[in-house]
Amino acid sequence: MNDTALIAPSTGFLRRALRHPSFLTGAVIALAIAATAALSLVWTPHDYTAIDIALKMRSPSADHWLGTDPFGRDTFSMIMRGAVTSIAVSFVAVGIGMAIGVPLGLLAAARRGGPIDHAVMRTADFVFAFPALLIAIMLREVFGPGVTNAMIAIGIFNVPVFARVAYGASLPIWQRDFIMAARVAGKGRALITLEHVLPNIASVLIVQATIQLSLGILAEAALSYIGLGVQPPMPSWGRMLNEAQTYMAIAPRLALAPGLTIVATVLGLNLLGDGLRDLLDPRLARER
Amino acid sequence: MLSFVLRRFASLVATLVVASAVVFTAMEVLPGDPAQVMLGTQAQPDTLAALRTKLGLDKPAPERYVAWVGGLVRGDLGTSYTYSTPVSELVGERLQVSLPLALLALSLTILVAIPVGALAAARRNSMTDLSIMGVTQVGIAVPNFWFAMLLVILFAITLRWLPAGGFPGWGNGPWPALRGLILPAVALALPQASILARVMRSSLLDTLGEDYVRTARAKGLSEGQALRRHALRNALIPVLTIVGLQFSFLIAGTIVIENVFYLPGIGRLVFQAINQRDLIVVKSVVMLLVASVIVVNFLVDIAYAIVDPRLRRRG
Repeated sequence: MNDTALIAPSTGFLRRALRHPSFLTGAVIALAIAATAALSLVWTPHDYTAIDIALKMRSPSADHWLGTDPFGRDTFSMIMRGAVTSIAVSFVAVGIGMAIGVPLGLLAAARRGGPIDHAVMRTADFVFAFPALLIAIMLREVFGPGVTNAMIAIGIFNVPVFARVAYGASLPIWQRDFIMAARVAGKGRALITLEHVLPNIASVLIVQATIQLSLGILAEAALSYIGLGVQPPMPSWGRMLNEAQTYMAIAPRLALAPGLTIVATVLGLNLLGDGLRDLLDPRLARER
Repeated sequence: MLSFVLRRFASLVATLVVASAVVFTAMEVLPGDPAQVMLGTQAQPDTLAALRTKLGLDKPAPERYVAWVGGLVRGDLGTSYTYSTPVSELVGERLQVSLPLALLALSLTILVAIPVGALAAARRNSMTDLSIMGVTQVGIAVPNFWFAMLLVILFAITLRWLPAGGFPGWGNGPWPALRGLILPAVALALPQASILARVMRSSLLDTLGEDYVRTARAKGLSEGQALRRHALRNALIPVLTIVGLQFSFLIAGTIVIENVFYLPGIGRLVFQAINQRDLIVVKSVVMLLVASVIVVNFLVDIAYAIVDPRLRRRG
C-alpha cells in the first residue's frame, strides 16, 4: 500500500476516480441529495408544513410536481426537506459511532492481547446484540420519541462497528517496519497511534463511514416509519411512508416518491462506498 | 471440543447477565419513575403510590433487578399492566406468528441467496453475474417496509391474490395462516438475501482460488465439479457467520414488518406496549429479543467450530 497516496490523493487518484463508474454514479447521487438538502433550507417550492385541506390529494401538476398529500402538503417540498432530516440523523449517528468507536478500537489494537483489548472487543461484540430499533425502544422514555432518540440509538449501534473496523485495520499496521522504527526512536504507543496508525487506517474508516451513513438513512426511515423517530411537522421520508400507508389503495403515488428517494440515496452511498474502497485500497478490490 | 463449548457457554451466561442489567437500567433506572410513565402526568398521588407498591417500585433497584431476573429464569415475565395477563402468556401467543414468520423469511433468504450467489461466482464477470450484482445492489438499498408496501399494492390491492394484512390464526388450518405470512416473509427476505448472495459470491470466489481447488482441477475435475465437490462447502463457512449476524436485523425487521401487515406478533406486541406505556411488557420482550440474538450467535459460534476445528483453540 502506498502510504502517501492515501493521505493526499494525487491527480492520479482523481483521474482514476473519474473513470470509476460506481464511484462516479455514487458521488453524483450523493452530491445531488446533499445539494437538495442544502437548497431546502432556504427554498422549497411550497411551505413543507403548510396544511391546506382544499388542496388535499392533488395529482402531480406544474404547481405541485409530485402532487399533495391528504393534508394538502406539497410532496416534493416534503421530500426535499426530508433529505435534511435523513442527512442530519445519519451524520450525527456516524459522528457518535466514530468519536467513541475509533479511539476504542485504536486503544485495543495498541494494547493487543492485554485486558484492555479484551474488554473493548468483548463489549463491542455485546453491543452488537442490540439492534438500533431495540435501543430506540429502550431509550424512548429517556429522550422521548424524536430526532435525538433516533440519532443516539443509531449512533450507539455504530460504535461497535467502528471499534471493530479500527481495530481490525490497525493490527496489521502495528506489524509494519516503520512502527518498529518509531518504537526504536522512543515514541510511545499513543504518539505512534496518532502519527502512524490513524493516517494509515483513515481510508478504511472513510469507506466504513459511507456504508454506515447509508445504513443510518435506512434506520432513520424505519424508526420514523414506526413512530419512534422524527415527529411532525418535521418531514421525514420514513414518516411520509407511514402516512402513505393508509392511502395505499387510493393513492399509491404517495408511497412511491419517498420510497424511491430512499432507495436512490442508499444506493448512491453504497456505490460511493464501493468505489472509494476500490480506489483507496486496490488490494481489497481485486476479486469483488 | 467440550472445553470450547463450556468456555463459550460460560461467556454466554455472562453476556446474558450483563445484557439483563443493561436492559433493566435503561428501562427502569434512567427515565425515573415507571409508574409515572405508565399513568401519565395527570395521575393522582394515591393511584401512583398504589401502582408503585404493586410493581414493587418501593423496593431498592438491586432487589427489583434480582426479582426480575429470577422471574425470567423461571419463565415468569411479570404481568402486563394493560392486558392484566401474564407477559409469558402474551409472548407465547404472539410467538405463534413471529416465529413462523422469522423462519419463513430466513429459509427464503438462504434458499434464494446461496444458489444465486454461487451462480454469480461460477459465471463471474458474465452478464448473469453483472445482473445479479446489480439486482442485489438495489435489493440492499430497499427498505423492507417500503418493499412490503409495494407488495401489498401489487399482490393484495391490485391482483387480490394474497391478503393485505391481518392474521387468521392457525385454527383454520395451515394454509390461510401461511397465506398471511407470504408477503411479510418476502419483504423481510429481500434485503437479507441480497446481502447474503453477495457474501456467498465473494466467499466462493475466494475458495475457488485456493490450492485444493487447483489440485482438484489438476486431477481432471471440470470447473463445475471442482466447485460442487470442493469449493462450495468451504465457501459456506463465512456465509454461516453472516446468517448469524443477520439474525439481529431479522428481529428488528420483524418488528417493523409486523406493523405494516398488522400481524399480531411479538413486534406488534412490543409496539403496542410502547404506545400504551406498558413498560413491564416492553422490558421483558426487549430482553427476550436481545437474549435470542445472543443465543443464536452462540449457536453459530459452536456450529462454526464444528465445521472448522482450527477455531476451537481461540475462545
